[in-house]
Amino acid sequence: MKFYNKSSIRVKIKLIILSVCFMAILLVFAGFYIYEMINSRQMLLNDLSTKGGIIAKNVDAALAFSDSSDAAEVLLSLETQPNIRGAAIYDAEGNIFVTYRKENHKIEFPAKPNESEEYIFSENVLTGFEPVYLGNEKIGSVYLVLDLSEQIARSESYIKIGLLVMFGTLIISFIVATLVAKNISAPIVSLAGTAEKIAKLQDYSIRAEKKTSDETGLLVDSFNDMLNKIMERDRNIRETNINLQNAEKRYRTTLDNMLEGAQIIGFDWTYLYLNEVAVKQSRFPREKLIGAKITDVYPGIEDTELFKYMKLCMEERKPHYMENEFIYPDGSVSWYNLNIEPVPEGIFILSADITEEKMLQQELKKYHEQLEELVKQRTEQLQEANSELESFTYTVSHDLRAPVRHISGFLDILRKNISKDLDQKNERYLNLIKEAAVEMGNLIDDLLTFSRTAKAQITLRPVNLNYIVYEEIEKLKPDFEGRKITWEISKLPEVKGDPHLLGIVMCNLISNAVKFTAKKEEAVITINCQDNDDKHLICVKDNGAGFEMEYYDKLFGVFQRLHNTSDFPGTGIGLATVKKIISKHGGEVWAQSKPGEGASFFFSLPKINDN
Amino acid sequence: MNELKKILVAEDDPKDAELMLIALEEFKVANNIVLVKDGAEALDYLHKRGKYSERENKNPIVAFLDLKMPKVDGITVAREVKSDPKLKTIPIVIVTSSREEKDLVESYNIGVNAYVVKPVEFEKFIETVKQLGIFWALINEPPV
Repeated sequence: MKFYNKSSIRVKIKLIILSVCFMAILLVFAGFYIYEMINSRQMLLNDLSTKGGIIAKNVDAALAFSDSSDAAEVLLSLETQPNIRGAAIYDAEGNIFVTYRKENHKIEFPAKPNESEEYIFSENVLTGFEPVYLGNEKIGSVYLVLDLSEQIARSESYIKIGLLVMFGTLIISFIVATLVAKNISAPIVSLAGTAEKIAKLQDYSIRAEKKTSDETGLLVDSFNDMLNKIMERDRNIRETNINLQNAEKRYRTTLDNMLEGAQIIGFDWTYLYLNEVAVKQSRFPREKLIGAKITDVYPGIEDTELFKYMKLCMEERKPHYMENEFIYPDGSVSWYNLNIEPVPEGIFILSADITEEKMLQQELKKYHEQLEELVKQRTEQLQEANSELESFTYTVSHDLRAPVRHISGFLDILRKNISKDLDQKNERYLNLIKEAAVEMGNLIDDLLTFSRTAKAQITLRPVNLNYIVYEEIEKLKPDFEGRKITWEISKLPEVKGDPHLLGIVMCNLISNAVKFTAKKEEAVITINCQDNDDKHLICVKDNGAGFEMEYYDKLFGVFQRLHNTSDFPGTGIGLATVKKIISKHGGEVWAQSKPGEGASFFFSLPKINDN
Repeated sequence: MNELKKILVAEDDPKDAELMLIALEEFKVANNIVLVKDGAEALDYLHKRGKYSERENKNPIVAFLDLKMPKVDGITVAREVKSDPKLKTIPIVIVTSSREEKDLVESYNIGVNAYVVKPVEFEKFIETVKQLGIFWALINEPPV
């Protein structure tokens, strides 16, 4: 069986065909031979039995009368039967009665007939007894000896022919088997050879040759198809490998050349990888780091917060970002931005040196603190200066007003005392002094209003502008007593503002309108409002003297006047105060005019929602 | 009504004081005017202390207090008068050159009876004093 397993397909096919042919022929021949043997035996038996029967019939009388010559004569008739060697007749008692021997055959007749009277094949003969009956009485037996030599010769020639046929058949079947085996095995062998060659050369471009379109052909096709796939996969793998290698190279190069330090620490806390920056940051030579444990490189690191998070990342795979103050063994300190990430090898740490930044930050913080301190100091100084200014203003208001008041007061008393002796000229001088004092008083009052306005904290409240307008007109009534003024006042909006300051604004604008229409016989003063989306636009218009737009720039300046004091008295502070107040409310002031055609003063106030 | 009624005038500025006296002269009450130079002196007078310890017992029928005075200002004097059970019936008139609103509000909060801004014109001042109806009422019938 071992040999069979080891042998090639060709040998196997040959062996199978040969053995099948051989076995078939052997079986056919054996069957035929056995059948022939059995058949010829049966024929011999029948022959012997018939001959025995005939002799028995013919010798019954001779036996009955013990006539031996007659019996011998009967036996002699056997001379014509070539295959009978001899015969004997036994009497009733079982004694030999007559014998017959052909030629010189030596025959040992049995002394007594066999009780069973069966036919027995012995070496070259067939012997048997046939009973002899007279009526129903057995009177003796006939013993016949049949020669089997012819029979044996025939079977020998059978065997010879059989062997010859077998031999011939084997030769033919060998030739056929060889051809068949070659035919069937050739493609398989070639396939096997190809496979072996491919295996040996590792060359997947070799293809098996397809010679037939049967199952073998199918096999070759599948094999080639498989090779194609292998080649494809091989190419893919190679490509992928190249890509992977490139990627790795790229990553490694990236890591190596990064501005940040990059290091990989294994699960056993040993350094697996460090880029140049990381080595630099570590302050140890690379050889001392790779393979060494971080705990050995930096003894005591186990107690740091950094190590806590490294451990957390190592064990629970949790990334962590931190700003870390790292203290080197020599006691020096550096600041790092650290990204600790879990990687398959252990943990990956990205470290950016922010020491300089940190120092700058600290310095900046210091500067900031200094600056804050400075601002605080300056604010205090400013507040001090402010309150000084306030008390100065207050003092000025008190102290400047006093002398003016005194001049005015004593002037009045003087005039009263000398009124009888006063000529017209001196009376005029006294009046001029008085006027100057009053003017000075007004100037001081206006200046105080302006300065108070400048430093006033405005508190926004709902203000009814119409109410303010009526209030101010009421206050100004003494100034235009006896004049004809037509007031055209529209409904004005409720605005958000400081009622006191807005009162000053209205007072100034209305008193200006009253003042500059003084020379008109019929004055018309219009106050109205136009709203847009986010502003109230309020206009105070008169038909008075107006002004030249050329000097518009001076209009809202302090102490700026566009008219002679003799024509229209004034201090030149009113519109400056108006501008200040409106800009404090987040609005704007402007004006339009033509000399002789009146002036329009506008101011805007932002609309403010309660929300 | 043969007793002279005293009017207390506290004014540090001698010129203002003189103008004040002239104005009051118009009403022929000059004899009864007590002029003090500052708040401290005003308080001494009111409390009968120091050089005023010998003054007669009657309180002045009205006190004109300048707002800004050395040592103790007018507001402080007014506050002390209005919180003293013996003095609080004395009408107080604050006289000042200031129009500062906070002074006005503070004065009324304390309970002063009038607040007069010193006008530039003397005539106006006399007019103002005249208009203080309270003054005439007090001159004639001081509260008991």
